Order: sequence, then structure tokens, then C-alpha cells
Amino acid sequence: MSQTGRPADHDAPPEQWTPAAPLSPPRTSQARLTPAAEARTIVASRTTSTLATLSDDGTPWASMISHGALPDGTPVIMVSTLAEHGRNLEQDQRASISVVSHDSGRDPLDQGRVTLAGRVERPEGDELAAAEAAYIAAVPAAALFARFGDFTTWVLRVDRVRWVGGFGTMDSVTADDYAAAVPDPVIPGAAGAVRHLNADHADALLQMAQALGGQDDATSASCKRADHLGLDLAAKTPRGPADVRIAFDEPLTAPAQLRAATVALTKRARGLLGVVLLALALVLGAGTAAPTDAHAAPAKVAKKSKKAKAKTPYKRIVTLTPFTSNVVSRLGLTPRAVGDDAGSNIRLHKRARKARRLPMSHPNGPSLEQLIRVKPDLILSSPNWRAGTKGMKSQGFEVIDGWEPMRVNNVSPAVRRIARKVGRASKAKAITRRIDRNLRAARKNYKSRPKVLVVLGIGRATMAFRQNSWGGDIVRYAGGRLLTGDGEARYAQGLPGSFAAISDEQVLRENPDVIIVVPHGNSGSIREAQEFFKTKPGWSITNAAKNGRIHISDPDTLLQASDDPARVVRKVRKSYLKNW
Amino acid sequence: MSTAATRPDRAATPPRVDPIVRASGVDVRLGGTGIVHGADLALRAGRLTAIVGPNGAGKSTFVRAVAGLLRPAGGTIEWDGEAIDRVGQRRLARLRAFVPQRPAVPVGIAVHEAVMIGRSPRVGAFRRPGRADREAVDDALARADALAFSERQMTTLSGGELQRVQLAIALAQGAPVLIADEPTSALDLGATATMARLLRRLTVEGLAVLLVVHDLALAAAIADEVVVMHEGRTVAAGPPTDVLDRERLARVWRVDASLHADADGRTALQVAWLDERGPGTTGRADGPDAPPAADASPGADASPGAGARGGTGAADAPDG
Amino acid sequence: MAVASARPADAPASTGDPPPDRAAARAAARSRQALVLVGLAVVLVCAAVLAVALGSTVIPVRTTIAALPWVGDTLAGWPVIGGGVPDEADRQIIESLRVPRMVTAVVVGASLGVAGALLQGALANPLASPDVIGVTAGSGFGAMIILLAFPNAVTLVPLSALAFGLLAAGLVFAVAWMGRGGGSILRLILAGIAIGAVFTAATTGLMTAFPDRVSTAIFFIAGNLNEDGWSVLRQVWYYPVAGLVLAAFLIRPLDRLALGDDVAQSLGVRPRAIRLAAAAIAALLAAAAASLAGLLGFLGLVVPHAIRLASGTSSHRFVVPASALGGAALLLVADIISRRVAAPLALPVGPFMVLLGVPLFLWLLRRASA
Repeated sequence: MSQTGRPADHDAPPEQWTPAAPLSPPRTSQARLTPAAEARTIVASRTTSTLATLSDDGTPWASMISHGALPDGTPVIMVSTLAEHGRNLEQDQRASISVVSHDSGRDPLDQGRVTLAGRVERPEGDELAAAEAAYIAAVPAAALFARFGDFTTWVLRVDRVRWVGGFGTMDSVTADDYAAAVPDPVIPGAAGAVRHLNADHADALLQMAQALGGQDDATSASCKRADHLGLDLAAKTPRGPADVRIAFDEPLTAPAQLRAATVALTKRARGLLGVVLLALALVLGAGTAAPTDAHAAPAKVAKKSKKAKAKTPYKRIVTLTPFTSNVVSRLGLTPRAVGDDAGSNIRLHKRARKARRLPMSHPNGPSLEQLIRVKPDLILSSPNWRAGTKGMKSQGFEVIDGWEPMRVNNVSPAVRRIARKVGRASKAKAITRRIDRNLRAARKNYKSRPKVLVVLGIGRATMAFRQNSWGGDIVRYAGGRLLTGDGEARYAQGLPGSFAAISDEQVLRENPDVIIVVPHGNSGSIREAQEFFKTKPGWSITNAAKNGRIHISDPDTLLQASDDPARVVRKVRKSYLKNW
Repeated sequence: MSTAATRPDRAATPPRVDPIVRASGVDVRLGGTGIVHGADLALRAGRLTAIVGPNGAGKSTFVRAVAGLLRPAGGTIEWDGEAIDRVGQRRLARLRAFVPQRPAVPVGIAVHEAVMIGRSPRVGAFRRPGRADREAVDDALARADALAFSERQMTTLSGGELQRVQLAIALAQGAPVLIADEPTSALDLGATATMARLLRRLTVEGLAVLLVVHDLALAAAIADEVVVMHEGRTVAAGPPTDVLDRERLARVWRVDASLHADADGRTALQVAWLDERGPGTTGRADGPDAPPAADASPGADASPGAGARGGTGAADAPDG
Repeated sequence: MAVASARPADAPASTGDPPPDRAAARAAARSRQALVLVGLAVVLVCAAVLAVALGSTVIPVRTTIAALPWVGDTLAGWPVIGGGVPDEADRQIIESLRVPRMVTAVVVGASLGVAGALLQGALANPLASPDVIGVTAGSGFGAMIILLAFPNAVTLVPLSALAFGLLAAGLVFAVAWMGRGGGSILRLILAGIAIGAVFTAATTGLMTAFPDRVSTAIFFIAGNLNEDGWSVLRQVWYYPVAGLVLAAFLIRPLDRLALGDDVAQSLGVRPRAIRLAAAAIAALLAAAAASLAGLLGFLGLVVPHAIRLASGTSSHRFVVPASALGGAALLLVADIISRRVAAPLALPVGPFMVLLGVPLFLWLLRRASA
């Protein structure tokens, strides 16, 4: 379990939970507590829990108890044989404890909780004394009944630990990791500080989310939790809610250090936001004053016209990506023109196929002159063509370039958002239901789960697709175990998700069963890549190379959002993973 | 109407006029090294002054300081009675023209264009050269005897022609003082003679001319006054035949030589080229570093008078 | 004529009007220069009209003229070129895309042509171009750092290119002019090469650190006129305009400098100050050009030479204004080609400028040496 990543592998119906990916790379480390430390923290922070035991007839029995904990996290309980759970433990020592963290007034299901399972034992000797002391420390009243005859002190020898941090954050922990971990020193005393941050420093939190968390377009942010490594923020963006992790420069050792640490983060956030602009403004003096105004003005106009048009249906929609073209078509509208990216081979919906093609070139997209002739009232673009957005907006067009899904679970929300925008909200439900259903169907019956490395081939350099990329999603949905090389994540301009440079040495160490190379460039460079990567000497002793399983993907499959991700998943399973 | 007609004839030049340029006690340091020490000079309209001296004596440096191209470390240089650092570059450009020792040869510039550039200090800022300027350029070309190749590119000229063009550029400036640093050093005998005649004629036209000259015979033939520099000092000044005597030649140049001038203006330097004994014993007795006080004194400098005429009058003989 | 008659051997023939052969030679040279100027002006005007008429889509010249602000009304009644009826899209394309692009090309071409002419004059070096004083490398780095490291701040590219171009030139001047023996041509060129190498290395470093984003920077490196309408021009127009105006003040001092430092000084200018001023103004022009259209430094090298070869004179009085015209004309024509070759997609203008300029230049070179 790495320090930086946290599994978020719900097979989630995306309409309930679709975090917005950061627009730019986060500027703090993403360090957070390990699941083991989370579990230890929850156990240490609470004295009441639910105990599950087995009654004589083998049926489960859950009851509320108090617990303490030994220094290695082993729970200590003291129960009376008068109670059914006490009698059950005498009969069958298999038991499980569930501890729920502090109620912070939010959705109970978004609370941290941990389930420990194992067998209870009666401690002896020094351990008995330590256990009684630990229990009395947690439950002072126990000093009174500890010596009653009907009370027995038990310790739970933990075999299994499952921690759930909230919606979509969970992991299993081994008993050894659980014992080795340390409870967080800050969380129990941080509630007041978090309240204060949310009540009085919402602006600072927003700046952190924008400048440090990479959620450039966040509109508000609140602090969910502070731990000794950093803050968990919940941000709202026009693209949906986002979880933002902001790590402190140095781990804290006590809640009292929270104040200084958050002040430092705020300073950094404010500094980063202003530093480039400020430097240039200082150098050029008057030069910048006029242009910033000049830029602000059209943006305002565009916003106003957006509001005015919100209710009126769009008649002349131009879609630049296959995804937006197909979605608009599936919503029953015919795009006036669609972008024609020479390298793209995604099948277009028949409505979109009938539309006029606008040839596009990197990085600006279609010719502005042609666009003007089309007279669009809405242009659906993507970050891929963002360089051209400014020019389009300067012609007074309404341009949306941030809705292209960057992750598979963003597809359905994007469909809904586009449907609302073009006044076809009612049609979205059927479409998204089909997308989700197909996706579930595409994830069944894996014959194998190979280790898969997906790399972006730029010339002869390689970058690994990371977990939070479209291609990474597809491969995992296809049953592949995605290898990422653990390089530093970077958000490639115009490409969905993040990538990290990966060296041949890392590839050898991870030894993937399958390597999928996604060449980045024009069709000529793709042919070249085919020859180069298939016989790349540095990879020759990997399983993938030995078994002839280095595949050159067409660029669209793993790099370009599709409105039918299930089809892409099936294709990857059939052609590359061969586990269909 | 020719400007030549109005030029004062040399014979009519009054014997004494106030100097246009007066330098006294000039020290020049280059890169921390003293090159010129307490040098003196006076230039007068209608007179040609030649600075002579061995290599490294500081002639060029001194002349450049006088021309305002170098800032002296000490002493005074006055132009028109005003300290040079108060004259200003623009006014100075109208007072003196400077012909460098090794002129740059611009590519892609015709002779008449180069001369027009020389005229530019007299053309108003952002004004196109007018008819008067064009005439002045042609006049300068004519006076420098460069009219014949005025349409040629600078890069196509011979050394003698190039030197005449440089002279024309300087003349176009229309300054009363012309300063030239070894204008004949790269020229053959005929070109040197042409240049000598041109320079001499300019003094007749009333210009004050200052030359750095290596060739002592040439200096003797054309100069009204010779200033001898030795190791950074002006050690003698006066009519050539007075100043360039055998004793001084021995002391300053360390050769056994004597200067001869005949009535027709022919000059010659007779040198004992291979004399093993070296310079004369008299020079050695005085020591090369000790300038004779009388020669360097302002008195000797300030009274060239009729005596000087006699010395160089020979150069003018064909004229008269 | 007293002197002349007295000395027939070496007297000038006349100080009046030049004799007929000289007058004829001079007239021939003048008419050749006039021909070059007029030719350039005609090419420029035609190219300007065509640049507005031909874009990624084609608008008939008549319609183009009618759509031009004030020109359209004036020429409305004219035969052949008057009377076009532009629709709304025509107007929008012409007013908000092509006219600003054409103006940008003219400004950039003129700036680079003048920058090259100034530098070649000031440094007395035929190889001098904005590359020599580090401006190109600096501007390239300034744009790359935004395009590659801060892609979300893409609107800052012009300002950053300008700022870093001037910064690089400033460093070069500081190194070249400080200390003993400062201000020599050799020192300036060596400082330019050294500082340029630093910025080039930094740019290369950025490109290896962000290989996935390099494709977005190709247009800047190759040199490209953008389609941002007036916005960038509005941001930086003062720099090229100030540079062009200041350049006019340097024409005469540079001519004097051509005769050598001593003569120049004799004629009342300070060679070091003129050299610094010329290099600084060239840096300003080149950095402004880079901020508008990326790296097109080659234009600054080749245009003044072409002008000299074509006109037969190196006089700055002719070369500087003619280089402005020539640079503008060359860039405009190249831009028309770059927009038509793969229409409706516009390709970077830089390669076409080179493709167009080099054969022309070589032809002139061959003709001049023949």
C-alpha cells in the first residue's frame, strides 16, 4: 500500500459519485495516513464500539460495548457473563468489533469506521495488568467493576482489519500492519481547528484547493478533516465535487501545530497564484494592465450571454471531439459541424457523420474562419483543443472545453451535463443507464488479470498511464492490474489524466505481462513507434516481450474519451488483455 | 563661381594669427599607462603642422587627444579659446575633421555617399541633403582630387584613392582644422606626392592642418612647423630645417642622418644606414631623455614667424 | 579658379555640377534604389490586399475591399474593385481575423527587418541578427516556460516572450559593456553567444522535462501568426512602434559608424553609445516580434542583405526603411502561402518564410557576384 495512492475502486454508479479530476497537478505531496494508521486512529479515538459474537445456535449477535486498546492496538474488552455477549465469548472465541469515528455532523456513511475480526483470549500476567489498565484508562467507571466476579477481561487477537474511510475510500489491512501502525496524534484534537477553518477561513481553503490542489476552477472548499500529514478538503467545481488533499510541509506531532501549518499553506497558496502574473506585471508595467482588462471583458460578456441563453435551445452546435459529437447526436440533435481530427478513428454516430467536417490541427483546433462561417451558438471543445478557445471566445462564441470526461466514471455525468445544456435533460437518463449497464456487463468473467503497463510513446520517450487516467481506468475495468512505475504524476496538456515518466529499469522491475503503447503524434510517428517499441531492447526480457504481448494501440482507444466506454473495455479485453 | 578664387593665397597669410587650437601640458593615459606627458601644440589657420617622432613616441595618441577622440588625463586643450570638454561633440564636428590612420572601408557604399556622410554634421537632423550639400560634396571630392572615381564603391579603390576619399570625407565636414594620422604611410611614392600636394593646397585655402608623419623628408617638404615627440613629450617645435638637425636626429631617432633641402623644394634625408657606431656622440652626451629646454619652450613654439617661412618656402617655389 | 589654373596637373576639373557620366551613374544608382523601394511597396500593398482576401477560406477581392472599414466606402463606386457585397461572416472574418493578422505580419516583418539592419550596421558584422544578441533564445525560453511548465497561463506567452527576450538582451549588454574594454563588437557577440547558449539550454531542458507538451510549442518555435484578433497586438503594440520610431534616429549615426569609429567620432557621434542604442532597439524590436509571432529571427538576417544586394547600396538611409518594407512584404507573402497550402488549416509561417526568402536571397547573391 503506497503512501500516495488510496484505492477508490468502487464499481460506483457514477451519478452518485463522480469526483472532478484536478485540472493541474497538485502542488503539495499527496501524503495521507495509511489505512492501518487510519484504523488505529479510529480505534484509539473511541471507547464505544459494536461487538459481534456467535450465539450457541451459531447465529450472530451484535451488541454495544466499551473498549480500550493495548499499545499495539489490540482491543481490550471487559464483559459480564450476565450479558449474552459475555456468555457467547466463553463458548466461541471468534469475535468482531466495529468502531465508528467521531460523528462530525456529516452523512454517517461518510464517516471513518473500522472492523476488526479475530479471536478473543484471556490475557495473563503482565498482559492482564496492562489490559486492565488500558480498559480502565478508556472507561474510568470500570475501576469499580473490574474485580467483580462475573466480569472477564478479554483481548481481541486481530486477524483481519477492514477500514472504510468514507464513501469510496476503503482498504483491508494485515494484522501486522495494524499492529505496527501508530494512531494519528492530531485528529482527535483537531475538530475545533477544523470548525474554525470552515467558519472563518473559507477563502484560504478555496485558495489552497485552487493553487495547491490543482482544482483551478474550484468555487468553494471546506475542510473535512485535519490529520498530522495534511488537510482533506471538499471542493466544489463547475465539473462536480472534488476531494482535495493538501499535505503539510512537515508532519505535525500535536494539534497545537495546526495553526502554524495551515497559515504556511495559505501563504504558499496565495504566493503560487500570484507569482507568475505578478512577476510579469512588474517587468512590463503598463503592458499588462490593459490586456488583463481586455481579457476580462469578453469573458464577462460570454458569461452573461450564457445566462441569457440558458433556457433557449441551441440550434447550431459545433462539437470538436468524438465524445461530444456522439453525445449530442445520441441526444437527438444534429451537430452543425464536427471536428475532424485526422488521427481519430472513433466511430461517429450517424447523425454526426452527416454533419460538416471541420479539419483540425494541433493545438488550435479548427480554422477560425470556417467556424465563423458555420456561425455556431455553442462549441463543445475539450482540453485537447484548449489553445484555440481564446480565439473562439474572442469571436463571441460560447465555448465549453472542460466537459470532456477525463475518467470513465465521468462519462455519464458529462452526458447529463451536456443534455441539460442543450435542453435534452430528459433524454439523458436512458443513455446513461445504458452506458452504465454496458459497462457493468463488460466487467464480468475475467479469465485472467494480467499485469498491464500502458505507456504514452512520445518519440522514443515513454510515460506511464497512471491510475487516474482514462486509459488506466479502461485497463482496470478490463481486468488488468495497472502498473504505474511510481513516477511523479504529471498532467499532460490536453490529455485526460496524469502520466509519469517511466524508465526501462522500472519496466523491468515491474515486469508487466502486457505492455500497451499509445503513440502520441501523427500517423507517421505511429508507424515508426510500431517498429521501435515492438523490438525495444530495454524491454526484451519482460514477460510481455517474451510472450509477444507488446501491443501498439491506436491513439484513440486509451487516450480519447468515448461515449461508449464499455465497447472500449471489451476491445481492450479482446485485443490486448485476452481475458474476454 | 569657384570657392578657390576666394581662398586666401598662402603668401597673403598674415604671419601671426591667434591659434585655433592650443594644447599645453597634455597628459594622456591609456589603460593605466602614461603615453603622453605634458605635450604642447598650437595650430593656426593656413599653416601645416607635422608631428614627427619615432615609433611609440605617443604621436597618434597626442593627436587623438587634441582632436577630442581621447580624454586627456591632464593639461588643457582649447578649441577657439574654449576648453575642449565644454565644446561638445556636435560643435567639435564642425570645428575639426579627423582622418584616421587605418580607415574602415565600408562595404556597399559609393564614394560620393561616403563623402555625403562626412557632410552630415552640416545637414539638419531628419533633413534630406539639399543642393548646397551636394555641391559641397562635389567640392570636397574635387579638392581631394577624388572626383574621377566618385561613383565607384569604396571597396574597389586603391590605397591612394582611398586615402583621397578619406580626405574628401573630412573636407566635406567643412571644418577649419584638418587632422590626419599618417595619411601617407600606406601609399607609394606617387600617391604620397599627390597627397602631399593636396594637403599643402589645403593650407593655402586657409585650413589649419595637423599631420602625424613618419617620413621626415616629407615632413620637411610640406610642413610650416614640425613638432618632435619623443617618449611622450614634445621635445622640439619650429621650422623643419631648424628642428630636424643632425644632433636631434641622433638623439631622438638614434641614427646618424642629416636633412637636406634645395631651393626647388626637394628634400632628402641622408642616413648612415649601416653605421656600426650608432648615433652621434653628442646625442649620447646629452642623454635621450633630456629635451633641450629652449626647443620645447612656449617661446620657441609661439614665434614661428618669418623664420619658419624661409625653411619651408621651398615647397611653394613652383607656385611663386 | 586661380589655383586650378595654376596647377593643371592635379586641379579638380570643376566644383559645379557633376559631368554627364557621373550624373548618369548617380541617376542610375538612384533609379535602381527607387525601383527596389517601389517594387517592395507594390508587393507589400498587393500582399496586404491578398492577405485579407485569401485565408483559410477564400473571399473575392471585391467583397474583401467592400468589407474593409472606410476603404470599402471610399471605393464602393469604382469599377471592377468596387461594389462587392460582403455578408456578416465575411465582415467578421475580415475585421476580426484577417486585418489584425495582416497588420501583425506587417509589424513583425518590419520590426525584424529593421532589427537586423540595425544590428548588422551597429556590429559591422554581416552575420548579425537578433540571434546574436541572445534575444531569440531569451524569447524562446520565455514562451516555452509558459507553454510547457504553466500551460494554463497560455495567455501570458506574448508577455513572457517579450520579457525574457529583453532580459536576455539586457544580460548580454551588461556582460558586454561592463568592465575594461567593454563595448567592443567582439565582446558583444561573444556575450550574446554565451547568454544565448544558457537560454537555449534551459529551453532544451524544459522540452525534455515536458515531452508530452512539446507539440503545443511547435508553432511558437517555427514562427506563427496567431488568430487572436487584436488582443495580442493591443497588448504589445507600443514596443515595436517605439522601436521603429527610435530606429529612425539611428540611421545617420549608423551611417557614420560605417566609416569607422574614428571618423564617426570625428563626425560627432559616440560609437559605443550608438552601438548600444542600436543593439538595444534591435532587441526591443526582435523581442516584440517574437511575442507576436514566435521565432522568425532568420528574417532579420536575410532581409537587410537582400535589400543591399538588390539596391546596390549599404547606406542605412536606404537599407533601414527598405528592410522594414521588405520584411513586411516577405512575411505577408509567406503568411498567405502558409494559410493556403493546407487550407483550411494554417501552418506555421516560419518555414514558408525561409522557403520563400532563401531562393530569392541566393538569386540576388548570384546576380551580385556575376
